[in-house]
Amino acid sequence: MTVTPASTDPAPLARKAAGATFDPIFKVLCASAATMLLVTLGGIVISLGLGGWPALSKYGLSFFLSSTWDPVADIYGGAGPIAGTLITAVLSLCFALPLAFGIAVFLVEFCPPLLRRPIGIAVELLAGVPSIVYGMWGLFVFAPLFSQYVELPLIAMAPPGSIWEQIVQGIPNGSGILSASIILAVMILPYMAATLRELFLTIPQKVRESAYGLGCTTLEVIWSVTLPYVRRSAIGAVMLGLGRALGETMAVTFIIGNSHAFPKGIFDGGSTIASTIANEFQEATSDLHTSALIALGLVLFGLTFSVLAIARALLGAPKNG
Amino acid sequence: MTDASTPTAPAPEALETYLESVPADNIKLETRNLNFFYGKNKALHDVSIPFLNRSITALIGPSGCGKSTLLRALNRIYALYPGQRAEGEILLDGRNVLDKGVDLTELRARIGMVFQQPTPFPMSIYDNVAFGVRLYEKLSKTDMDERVEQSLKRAALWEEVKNKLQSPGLGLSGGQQQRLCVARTIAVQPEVILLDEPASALDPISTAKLEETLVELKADYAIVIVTHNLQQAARISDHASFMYLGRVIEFAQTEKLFDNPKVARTSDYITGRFG
Repeated sequence: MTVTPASTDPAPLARKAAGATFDPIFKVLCASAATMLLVTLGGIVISLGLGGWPALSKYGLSFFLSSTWDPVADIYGGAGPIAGTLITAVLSLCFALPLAFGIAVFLVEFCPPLLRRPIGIAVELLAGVPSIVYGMWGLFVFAPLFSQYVELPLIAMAPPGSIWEQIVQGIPNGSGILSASIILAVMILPYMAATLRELFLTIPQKVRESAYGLGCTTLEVIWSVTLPYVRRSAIGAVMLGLGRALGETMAVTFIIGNSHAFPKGIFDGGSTIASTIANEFQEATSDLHTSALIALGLVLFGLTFSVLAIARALLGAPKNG
Repeated sequence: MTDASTPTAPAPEALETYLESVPADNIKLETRNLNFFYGKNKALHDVSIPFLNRSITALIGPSGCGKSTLLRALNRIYALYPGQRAEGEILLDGRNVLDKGVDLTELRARIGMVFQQPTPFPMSIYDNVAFGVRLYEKLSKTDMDERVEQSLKRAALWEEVKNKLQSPGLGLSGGQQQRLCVARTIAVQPEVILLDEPASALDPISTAKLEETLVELKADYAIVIVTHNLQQAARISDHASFMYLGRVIEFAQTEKLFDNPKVARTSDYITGRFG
């Protein structure tokens, strides 16, 4: 068989033309799908900005600093919900991270092959539980137990006048900042565990073998070789969990206590941006109230967006770069 | 020449060679009737082979003949993977390392290993070498510096990296990385060094440097090298073993094995008629 240049052969040209007519249309369809996404995102940002502008322009910086949120007097300061959002997110991260790390290490290093699947499935199921279920479980099951076995003893044990007493301030009814953080931790745990596990699996087997070959124990291998290898990406995984914790609404609304004041202690009731919006949007009567809620939404969007952007940047960055 | 109609069993000639070529008091590491299993697959059949002090032993044979498996059994790195197991005896200074009570970290400190692909750790050149040492010894800064320098010199890498010890090990070229791994292994001061095709990913110049390094290191260690490169085996090894289908077919002093193989299959492999 001889190879003939395509231009002298009419048959392939005709076939190429048949496929080629659809190609531009296909390209336009795909491009428009992508464009629609950008337009939607832009629209959301613009409408959040426009909607929140009356409140933001009226209060300026004090919208972020004042914790007076009084719909009756029509005064809105968002410091309480903003602080609540950040505190619960960070606390939940502190609880979830060691656990997620332990799960991932166990699955990769220690787990007998027979258990690997069941535990993996359990992690996925935990991720699949709807947040409203976590909320109900938190309020009806977790909160009473938490109040009885954690909050009351801790408050009773706190020496008067100590920092400890300051920290455990609040009404020991089981709901509050700490309870919400724990529920959040359970919710973000599976995502972080799964991501960390995937990361650990990307480490070349030979690198681990060389470390073991030098006589490392498992802990030494993980600490000195595995973790440095995935350091950047692991921070990305943590950020993804943080992003989810920041925006979580229903479960938190159930159990955080919904007080707009700046939380005084970890047992104190509080609110997050998401829980505030969920609670009040229906009842927002004045335009300023609505606008203040939208402005909070914009703040949350900004927070989540920056966390996710950082996560993306770290996860996408080349290893060891 | 013996006929090789039963190629998977060691011919008597090979065993004879085995006996005459090995001074018994110089054996550092030895396998006796070693069988190895990947799950239900038997990968090594009754492998009995000695590795001598101050000597390089080359394991040669076609792909899948069990060379690497044998190497991986010697420091029990296979124990990382459930389902892989070894039966028989591996004697290090007369003590069976397959015994239950053996401390694997100590064993692996005594039997160092260098892999086919360079595997520097994600840390500086200095730390790569110091890493293993820190696991076992508390050295002062000066002593550690000296150990690192000594190891890098012996691995023939010092001249190239002495001005950038703090830069990442992963930034080196492939050949340098491999010599870094050798430095890392000898820094721990093992007694045996296992090398699994250490030069297969290297260019000829790096390979030559690595070979020089190994020949120098021979003065202190028992070295076992798996290689596909017959010239390399002939150049650097003192003893060689031809393996085929999970069995040792022939073991002899390298010269004898290459110049006058006793088993037909060995000579076929060496002359390039198969494999």
